Amino acid sequence: MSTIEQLIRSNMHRPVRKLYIKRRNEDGTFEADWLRIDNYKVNEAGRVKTWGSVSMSIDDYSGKIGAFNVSNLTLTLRNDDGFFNVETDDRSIWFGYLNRKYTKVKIDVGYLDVNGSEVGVETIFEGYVDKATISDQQTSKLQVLSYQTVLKKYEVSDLIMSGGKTINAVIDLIMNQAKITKFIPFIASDVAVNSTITDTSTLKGTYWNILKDLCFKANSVPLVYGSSFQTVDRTVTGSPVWTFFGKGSANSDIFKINSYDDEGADRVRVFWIADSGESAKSVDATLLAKYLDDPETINLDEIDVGDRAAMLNALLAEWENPKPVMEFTTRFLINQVKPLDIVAIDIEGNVVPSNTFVWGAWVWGDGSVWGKNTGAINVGVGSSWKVTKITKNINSWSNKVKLELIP
Amino acid sequence: MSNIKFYEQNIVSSDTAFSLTTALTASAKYLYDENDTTKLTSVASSDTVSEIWDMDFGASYSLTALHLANHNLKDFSIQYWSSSAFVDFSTAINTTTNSGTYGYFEEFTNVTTQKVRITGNKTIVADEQKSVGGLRVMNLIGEMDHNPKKFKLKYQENSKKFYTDAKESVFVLFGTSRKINTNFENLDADNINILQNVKFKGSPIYVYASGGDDTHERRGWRIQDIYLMNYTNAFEPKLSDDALHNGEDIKCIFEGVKPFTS
Repeated sequence: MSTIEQLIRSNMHRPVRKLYIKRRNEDGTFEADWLRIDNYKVNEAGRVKTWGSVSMSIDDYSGKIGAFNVSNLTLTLRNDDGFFNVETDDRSIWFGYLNRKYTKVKIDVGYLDVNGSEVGVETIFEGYVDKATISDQQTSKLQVLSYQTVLKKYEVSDLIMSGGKTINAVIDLIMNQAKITKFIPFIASDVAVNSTITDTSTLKGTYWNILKDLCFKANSVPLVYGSSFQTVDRTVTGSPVWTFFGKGSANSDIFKINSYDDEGADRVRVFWIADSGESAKSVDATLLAKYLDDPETINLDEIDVGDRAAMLNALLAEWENPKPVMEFTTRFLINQVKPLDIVAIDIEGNVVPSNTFVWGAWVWGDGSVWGKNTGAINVGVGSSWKVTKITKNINSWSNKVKLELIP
Repeated sequence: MSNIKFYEQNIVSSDTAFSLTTALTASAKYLYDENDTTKLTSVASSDTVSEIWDMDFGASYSLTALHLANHNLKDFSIQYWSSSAFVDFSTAINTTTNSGTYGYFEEFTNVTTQKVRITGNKTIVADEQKSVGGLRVMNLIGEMDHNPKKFKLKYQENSKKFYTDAKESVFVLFGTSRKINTNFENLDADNINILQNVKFKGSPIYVYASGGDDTHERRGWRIQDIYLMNYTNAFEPKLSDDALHNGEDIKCIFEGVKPFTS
């Protein structure tokens, strides 16, 4: 049997795509098992007309440091028999259940090997139905929101917090509630800089806003993947989990380089100032000359005074160096590569003319010829890149990967 | 010699209740999944023990034919429930010497029944586990009195092509299904009615080009080539040669509702 990496790197792909739902019973609890519906029922044709695409990203927007997003998904399903109609229609798959909204949706994908066996099937998206729209085109459109949107529905004031608490403690209070864990199983928070919030009663906004804000200040990223949620360090370490081969390689992965910012100046911040007056500034004269010392102002009022300097230093270390950014279209990677993973890239054009060496000639002008790499983009495999965004086009079976160079 | 036949959908379905001697009930779906390579298999059987598979359809259905696909039964019988006992069809399906892995049994007198029983006694290679890749219990819509002048079988596919920087091909094959283009000529009223029934049945139908004739070797016409399909073009009878004394010509396009599995 082939491994999933062998199948991804092969040049003949046979995708496995499965769509599941979990409906709510009339008492509001979810049914116990996932129901596969892409082939429902057995004697009928495939249900899914278009699978859509999903993306997961961190720090994706130029100049907007620390943004994080999980996309939603729109599925178009065949509905000529009313399977996806309102629950009061006795032909509907929701007949006898609560309703369509908030039904859980899961997509599993993988590859078929040469024997037709499924390999590497994993969940790449999980969310819930926000809206189902049927049409006279005999289709139903399911708009599926990622679980991160559940966190936008509640205000942090409903926790009635008071006094000082660490960032981890606040995040755990938010995430370890039944109304959240029924969608996102609880995993204890472990941020990089676990500062103390001096007065938690001053926190305002939705759960999601609070999580983003606290994680950003803790040099971490809230990562929603499938149904899992965790806070992970923004500063990643380790060796590459995947090497992408481009021009000049025998078995290339890269279908197309969509963009390449070979400097990455947009997001450089060499000077950080807190509203309360504390600051951290680069000591690298070259960086200061290149990017000026235009300050990035941040509000750290709710952070303990003693923790503010460490937080500003961590932010400076993360953002003072420019990070080239590249985006390309490549093979469908299932979950082999995720946001925050370290990867390598090998894009090297041919050396023209070929390097030649004249034996016995060690003097200037000996006739040896040394070529140069061709092509505008040359990236050696020695550098490490951090994945900041993956867009998985389930329909066309390709991925777009966005990366930034780790300085 | 048979001509092309059309059948209603398989009566064996997810609504069928199965009672199996040793085979796993969870695998019973392999009998009706339209993938003859997946098989329902006994798990503790031999030539000294009969493996009995009872199927209760939950209601009575009219049936005229059975198609047993990709099986290894040498000594077996198939019976229906008469409301008091399992009995033979008018043409009994009962053999001790079968050697073919595809079997087609038809033209037994129409029966209306709620249950069917397969009794497997021995396998073609002695003492193997008894296995069946597909069982189609069907009701005939009609048999044409002559075959189409044109019959073109195509394996249509949903695929995507990508190319790497070095113009290497990466091919994504999402799925393949069958498509048949046919052209029936000079049909009389009875034959036109068959195609009209097929078109307006309101559900997929089986297209069985060989009609059960096991002498053909061409793909699409073999004994095993029975396809669940939709009639997807408009029903458009046209006078043959525009002559009133002739019958009518009808072009039919049938497209498979299940993926092709090799």
